[in-house]
Amino acid sequence: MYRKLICGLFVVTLLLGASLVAIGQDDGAAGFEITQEMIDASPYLQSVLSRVDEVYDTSEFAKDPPYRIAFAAQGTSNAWSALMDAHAYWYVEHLGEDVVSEMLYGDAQAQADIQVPQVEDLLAQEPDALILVPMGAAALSAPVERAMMQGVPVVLCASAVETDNFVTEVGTNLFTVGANLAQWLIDTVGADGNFLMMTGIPGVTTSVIMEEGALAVFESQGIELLDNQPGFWSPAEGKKIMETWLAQHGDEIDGIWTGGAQMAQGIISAYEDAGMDIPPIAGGEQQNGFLRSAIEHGFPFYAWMYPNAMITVCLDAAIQILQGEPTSRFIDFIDTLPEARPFTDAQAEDYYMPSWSDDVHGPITMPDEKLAELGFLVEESG
Amino acid sequence: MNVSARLVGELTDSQRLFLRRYGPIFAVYGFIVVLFIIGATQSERFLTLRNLTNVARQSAFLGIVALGQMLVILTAGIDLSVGSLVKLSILASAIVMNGEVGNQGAAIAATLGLGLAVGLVHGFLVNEVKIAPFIVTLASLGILRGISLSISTSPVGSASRPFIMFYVQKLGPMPIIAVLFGLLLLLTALMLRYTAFGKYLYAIGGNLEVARLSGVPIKAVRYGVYALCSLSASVTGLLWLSRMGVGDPAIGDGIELQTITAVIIGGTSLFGGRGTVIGTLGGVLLLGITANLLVMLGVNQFVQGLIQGVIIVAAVALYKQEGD
Repeated sequence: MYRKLICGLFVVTLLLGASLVAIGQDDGAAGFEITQEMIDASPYLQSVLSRVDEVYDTSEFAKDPPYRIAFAAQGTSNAWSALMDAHAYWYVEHLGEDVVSEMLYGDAQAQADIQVPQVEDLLAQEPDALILVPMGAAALSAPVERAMMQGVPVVLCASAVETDNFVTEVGTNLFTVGANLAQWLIDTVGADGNFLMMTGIPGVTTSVIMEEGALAVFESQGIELLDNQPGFWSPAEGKKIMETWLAQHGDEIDGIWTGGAQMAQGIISAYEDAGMDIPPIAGGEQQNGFLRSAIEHGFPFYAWMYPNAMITVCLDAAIQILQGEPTSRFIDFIDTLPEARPFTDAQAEDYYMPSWSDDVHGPITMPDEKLAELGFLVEESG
Repeated sequence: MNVSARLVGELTDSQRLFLRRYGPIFAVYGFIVVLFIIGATQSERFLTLRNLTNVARQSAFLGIVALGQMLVILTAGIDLSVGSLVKLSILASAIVMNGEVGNQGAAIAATLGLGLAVGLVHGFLVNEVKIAPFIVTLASLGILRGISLSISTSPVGSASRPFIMFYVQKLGPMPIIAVLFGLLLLLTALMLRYTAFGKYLYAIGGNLEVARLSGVPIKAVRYGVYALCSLSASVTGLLWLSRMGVGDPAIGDGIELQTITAVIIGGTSLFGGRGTVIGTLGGVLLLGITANLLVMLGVNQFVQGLIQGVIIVAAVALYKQEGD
């Protein structure tokens, strides 16, 4: 009797566990697998995969709080980065002055040639740690090496550099993100569909690696794209290109891969003007304007997330390093911000926030009052 | 008539000449003193040796090209192509050097040769084809930028290890790059004061017709001045390679406007014939210290453009009063 009861409980526990794992991973993600061939062809994948299991001994940087942390930011170049800055200031305040006494700030205006001297200015103030959102993988490599040489631990946030001489990188596997978006498109439309690709800014690491992942999937399945153009993460540029594509390919287009929601907004707008049905789009985000349009038009989409709130994970990593705790050399923000998992049109209503303005990129971890102060709320929430 | 104009009106001719020549210098260094006071009171680390030498090194990047720009402006010309030439120079030097110590000499020679060639082409078009310097160098800005971006839109090539380490080398407490800038400042000042070439620059910018009638070799001087300006841009491209370690085509955009800004703030007349090295140094330092201070104070970058604009208008308005 007891044996049956124990066996029954065991089976129920197994089924429950399996169900929870399945629910946790039910984000519409496609069945894509990284092959050894892809790893061999991608220095980025080799670097990320090798660092995932690597731990940095940070004892050399250990010191007592409070800390002075330098934040070399992308700057006030768009809403995404403005929200990242806002998250940073809010989180430092939230941590308290006995943890972070001062956050030194550099605004790169999204330009590498502005950021390089700014990093020098920040290092001249002898911070305890440097958090860098690199505006160029190659351009920022030498400054990162010089910071490490000076004894300032470097946390790379949201993007990478070419040198391996830093403590940790906070981000996500962008190759897999790009590949998953492509695989979802193929699964949704079929491998015989006609696809278009719109990438971000040429030469910018985030865009280049996502494109690399997507092309690996398309090529591995013998798919030839109708076209592949950069949309510069801009709704205006995205719309301009989409208008040309609509004139050129019309209703032959079966699906569109895009590297960001801003461009997806431009794509939607071009379809609206043309009065045509919007095909499946792989590459939305929790960007409120995109979600509002997606719900309105009801087309299939697959969204990934690159949350500006990851700066809080970067700050936590910097503090962990300064406390001398062993630190993973690659921190996937999804482990700390589970709400940043990919999702599809089936969950669009859950992610759309009526009180947010169209340019807000979620998930947002700071209180609504902060959003209101920055002018990102269109009405009182709650 | 306002108070300032009335005061100037009461000055003797020699006093007026003194003010006209040195007023801008007093003004620009007055601004710098104000910035130092703000920096010292707002940030405990602003006056540290480390930060001041950092500012000196950063200023060298703008300063070297600004010196070249000043020479061209003294002759009533302008060079809008310097930013694009910096971009092409960093790419060319990185590609030729390709991370090898053995290629350093060839990379430096090729880059300086490129600068010299571009400058001579500018001189030829201004002298022989009689195209206005603004048009020549505006076209050159587009052409050199186009060549650079057709070579690569992403970083290419690399610097050798010793070349990268050059950036952090020091002579005593001073970064070697700041020392190099100091030497170039001194040489330019001596050239302007003691050589015929230097005096010809002022003569051409002051009154071209009078200079021609006086037997000034206008064409030769113009060839020389455009060559020197382009060489200064190529040297800066090499310094950027040392700073970055790779040939990044993102570098260089907007440098032409920064150099013109520094030169104007330093009191050089855009119509030529008037300007000093010490004034240009003041303009360069003013921009460099402003940028440094904004980072120290955690101010957003776009404020820098706003402040620069205000400084230009204030400085030029002040110089105009002093010069009237």
